Amino acid sequence: MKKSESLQQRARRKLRQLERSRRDGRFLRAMGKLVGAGLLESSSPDVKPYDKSVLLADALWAGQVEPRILELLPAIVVKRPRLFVLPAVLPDDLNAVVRSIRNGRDHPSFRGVEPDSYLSWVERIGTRGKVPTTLRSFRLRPDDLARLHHLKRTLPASSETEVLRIALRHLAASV
Amino acid sequence: MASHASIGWYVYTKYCICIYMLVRLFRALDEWIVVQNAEATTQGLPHHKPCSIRVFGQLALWEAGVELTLAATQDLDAYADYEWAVQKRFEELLRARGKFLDPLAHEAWMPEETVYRTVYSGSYVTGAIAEPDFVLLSKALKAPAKNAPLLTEYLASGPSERFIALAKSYGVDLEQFV
Repeated sequence: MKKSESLQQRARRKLRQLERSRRDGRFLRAMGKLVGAGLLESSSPDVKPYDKSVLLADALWAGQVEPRILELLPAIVVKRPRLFVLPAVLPDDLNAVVRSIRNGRDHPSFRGVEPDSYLSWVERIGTRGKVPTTLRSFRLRPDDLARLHHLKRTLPASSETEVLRIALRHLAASV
Repeated sequence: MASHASIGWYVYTKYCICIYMLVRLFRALDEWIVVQNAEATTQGLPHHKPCSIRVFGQLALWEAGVELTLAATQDLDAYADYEWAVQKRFEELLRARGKFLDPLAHEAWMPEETVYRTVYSGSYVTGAIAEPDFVLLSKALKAPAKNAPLLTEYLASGPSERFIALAKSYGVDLEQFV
């Protein structure tokens, strides 16, 4: 019990620092912006929806206080870049993550947030289900093309790319 | 500077909105199944089976009315045993409230001994939420960095003996949060 009391005392000390950070304008503006955009909810009465410009730097700072902000930021920069005022040059680590999202590969972790966590927001933020696409070229034979045209009509699929997506999903599920 | 009374009222109001939201959601799903099954009877088609939805994660803490500063994304984590059509309807109902079902929630870890409190019990739907100690333990064990502020605040507020025992039993190092 003694250990638990001392744990509580130390937690209280740390909480005081945390509460100071939670009252900081950078935190309130960034949280308020995300609450206003419907991306986060907060039980704190201090956090109010904020619709004025907020610097990305403020959001990055606020992410140290509330890590869920860091989880959302890469997807926001890719899908809703106007939500925060972006600098001319993104910080190196954020830039690397954004590039990896656009290229669809080699996803690094971002300030303690694992790729699975930030990638899950790419489909949910902005236009739902829309993710960055990458151009690839393949050489197809006439019979491949005929199959592609036929499947586009019969599935039905909105495009030949959609036919390939459906086929890939089925193939992946069967192996 | 908001007074304690207004802060208390704000927290109470948010708590009520959340409870109302979840219960209303479960009720709407239940009513939909009742109608679907009535139609299925007249057409001689199979009925939807009763299902249970157990909510955990941040929304369960909110629902339980814990006095902690919560920040939550708009996704709902739940274990459920519903059929595909019922899940689709549940997702539609969530979307109408600006929320969505976490597609990977079934992979999330909760302790085996988790206690769920029933908040809605209808004809076909039983809705429950995980008790806070178990939700906090899951967060401390599986995503300590993301939940560090929340756990610091919880430890500062005086953790329950059940939580301390759970943390010890699952080998969670609480020192990392202080």
